Amino acid sequence: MRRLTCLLLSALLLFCCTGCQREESASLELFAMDTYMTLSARGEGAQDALTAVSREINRLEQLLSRTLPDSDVSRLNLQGAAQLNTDTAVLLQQAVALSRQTEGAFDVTIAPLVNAWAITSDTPRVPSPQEIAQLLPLVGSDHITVTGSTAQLDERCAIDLGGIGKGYASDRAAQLLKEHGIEHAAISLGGNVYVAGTRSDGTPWQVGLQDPANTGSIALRLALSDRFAVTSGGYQRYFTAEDGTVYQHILDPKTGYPAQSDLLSVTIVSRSGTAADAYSTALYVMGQQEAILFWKGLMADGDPENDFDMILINNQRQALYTPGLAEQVTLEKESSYVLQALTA
Amino acid sequence: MSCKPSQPKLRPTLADGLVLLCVVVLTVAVSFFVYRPSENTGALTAVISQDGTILRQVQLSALTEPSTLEVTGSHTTKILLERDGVSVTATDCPSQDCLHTGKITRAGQSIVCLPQHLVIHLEGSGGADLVLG
Repeated sequence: MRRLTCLLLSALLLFCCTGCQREESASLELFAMDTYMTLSARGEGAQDALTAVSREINRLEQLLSRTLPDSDVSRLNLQGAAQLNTDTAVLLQQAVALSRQTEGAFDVTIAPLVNAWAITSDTPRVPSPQEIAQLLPLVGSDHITVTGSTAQLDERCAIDLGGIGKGYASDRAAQLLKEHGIEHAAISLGGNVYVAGTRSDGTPWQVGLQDPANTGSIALRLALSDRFAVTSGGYQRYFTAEDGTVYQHILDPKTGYPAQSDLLSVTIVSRSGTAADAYSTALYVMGQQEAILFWKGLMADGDPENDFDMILINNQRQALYTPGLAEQVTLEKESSYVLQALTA
Repeated sequence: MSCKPSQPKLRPTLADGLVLLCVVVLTVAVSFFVYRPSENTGALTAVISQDGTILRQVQLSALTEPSTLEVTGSHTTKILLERDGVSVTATDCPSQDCLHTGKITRAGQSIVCLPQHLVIHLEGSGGADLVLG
């Protein structure tokens, strides 16, 4: 009898362990901010947390969209001055700071040029050199004044938060997940990724990096926990003109034309989704040499708030990575790239 | 002066051994079911969905020959399913982003047509959880 009791208790203990392992998990997908998003989380209240995140993303879209007529951004662009929601004002202030930090390689006042090219619209076109020359003086963070929650734009200027809005949304998502007590999550807001904690097997999240030269393949893989990651590259969206010229969607705010980068893609890994989003665009525009100098400059500052890691894939089939990713990055099977470490 | 009570002799019997064996077997069996990888084992499965509704789910390795699927709605998109991957071969959607993606061949990858809210996702073991790009 005692032996039977012992056996039954052991079985009960194992059964309890099974229960522990089967913690609540939830996933959700949505189309918002002109992109496809996937959210997944594990832990008590995971479903509620994801519902809250999706509501927050939809709320931010209502504020930051350039196409919705009542958004903060549309009102500001139309009227030249507007009272903004706190989120919009905070983001705009961050955008101006990031523009200055990147010396204009990232700039939200690029909207007049984005409109002229309309590359991501249904009717892309190539503006004339005269048109570009007329629009270029309208670009520059000096054209924006943000005082508290009020913003003002110089005449004919306009803003586009497309290069930073999803990054900000990923920061808000991370904050909401934390507030809901979720420790393990993986979200992708159209390529703006945030991973928290680990996979269900206790290992870091596996984040694949698309091969920019062959978008159907994955070039390399990152093992990440508690980080934001964003990739920018000209291959993501482009159009081919009637004469066969390919125009990619990332514009250089200094020239008004699509960036002529020697980089195929830039991936930023950071503790801030907003900064990662802006840096990925800025460093792509800068090109390899300037991007490395920019990274070295921020590392030399010694401010941990500014720390970030990056992977630069260039047109020599090299994948250059910063030392912080040495243990996290691996080449995918059959990848034709060569990994090369950068030094600070 | 107190006297220590004598301890009973602890000698394992065959029945004790059987109980131990049962516990070990049970542990191994439960561990297998609980801790096995959550992903599908085996080959790639293409999941084609529109507005969150799954239109078709195809195990690619089971295909004996390439198969096509046409999704209609606001636009018409032709999808080619092959043993080693999936691609969009034609679409009248103006952005053509789904066509530009090319053939996806790895678990974790997706082709997305935003105007149609159409998603083609590859599932399978060993794939990335998320893909940047």
